[in-house]
Amino acid sequence: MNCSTSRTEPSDAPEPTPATSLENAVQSASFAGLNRLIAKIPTVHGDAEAIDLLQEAVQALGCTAAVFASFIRDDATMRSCRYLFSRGPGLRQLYGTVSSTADDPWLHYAGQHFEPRRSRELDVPLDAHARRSFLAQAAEIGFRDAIIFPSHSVNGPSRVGMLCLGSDQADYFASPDALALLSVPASAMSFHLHVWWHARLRSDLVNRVRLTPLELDLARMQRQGLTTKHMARVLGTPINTIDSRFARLCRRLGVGSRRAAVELLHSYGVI
Amino acid sequence: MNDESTATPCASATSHEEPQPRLSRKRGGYRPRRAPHGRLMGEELRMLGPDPVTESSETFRCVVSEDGNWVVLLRRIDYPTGPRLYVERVHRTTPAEIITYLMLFEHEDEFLDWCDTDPIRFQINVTHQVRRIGHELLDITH
Repeated sequence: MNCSTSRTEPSDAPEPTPATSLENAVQSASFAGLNRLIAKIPTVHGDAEAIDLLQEAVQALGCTAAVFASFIRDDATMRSCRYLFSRGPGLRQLYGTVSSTADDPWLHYAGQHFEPRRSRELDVPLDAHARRSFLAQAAEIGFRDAIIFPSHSVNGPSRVGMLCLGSDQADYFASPDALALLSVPASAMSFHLHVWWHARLRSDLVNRVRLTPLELDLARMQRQGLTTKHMARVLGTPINTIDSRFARLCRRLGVGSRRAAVELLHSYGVI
Repeated sequence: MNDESTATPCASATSHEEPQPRLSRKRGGYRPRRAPHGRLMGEELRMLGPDPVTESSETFRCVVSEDGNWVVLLRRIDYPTGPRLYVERVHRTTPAEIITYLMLFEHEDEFLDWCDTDPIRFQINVTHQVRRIGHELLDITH
């Protein structure tokens, strides 16, 4: 997946002055424009454009910085996480210290909960040293208040999205009324970024592996529980052909069995 | 990364230091057909190469550590206000986990600060090349 190397400025207007409080931010004109930003997410073509969009949202909300994380567990042996950072050095430096997704307390929370929560309200066990250290460092680098918006999918904990908005003001997200107003667009943004990223992964999978319609049919039949003999009868081909097609598919997907291949394709929404 | 004359947009960090032994004609014709288990799953399925239509080695470069655990993609993106540097840092922290950071740098100083603070600075070969390539990409004038 590639993005164009030339593009227009995300916002030609001068950057708005950061809001002094969340109450001011949610009453501003830029906050009203958040829906327009969210509506643009499905048409985003590349990661750099997504970063621009995230940056615009940060400005509209009067926050200092934001990070969007997309956690994916393909199977028991492979998990991955992508972090999209808004501009500014603080969060990048903070995440530079993270050596495992398990050390990220915000992502950890998002993986187990649906509702938004402020970072300071997280229950981090005393023995979770890395996560506690992360939160302490976040405050040190000027991320004094933060709020997490989880987003989930039908794949449960195997596909988790997390949008974290942060401010350098200690009680920026303290007002319940303003927070209620913020939660609607922020949750929507988290969800749509999550959906957008999944669509990209699915598209990349199809393009990279170059799945043929016949292979998709085979994968669907395998998922339905059909035997090789049955598949051969349906498709009118020898059994050995079915076996070799599955072998080729597994090789291209980098998995060791038909079952793993089908699970992978299903988890990406291909079948 | 290879010499400039033979540079490809995506190359191993140490390919020029340790040239591969010349293979016989028959063996040289073989191509790897099977990736190690899990290598092509998930994140690594993404197209990491440049777009042949819009990108070249002048706008897209890739650095891979010797052990293959670190991959840094650098892409120059032209905005009306000037070029910016898009960086994708892929780190295989364990055989079972990949963490990717996507960042956009507006200024070279900001990018160099990141190079100095990120754990990638401990990958000496990688960080030297990332710094140099980042500078080159931002320095190109069209």
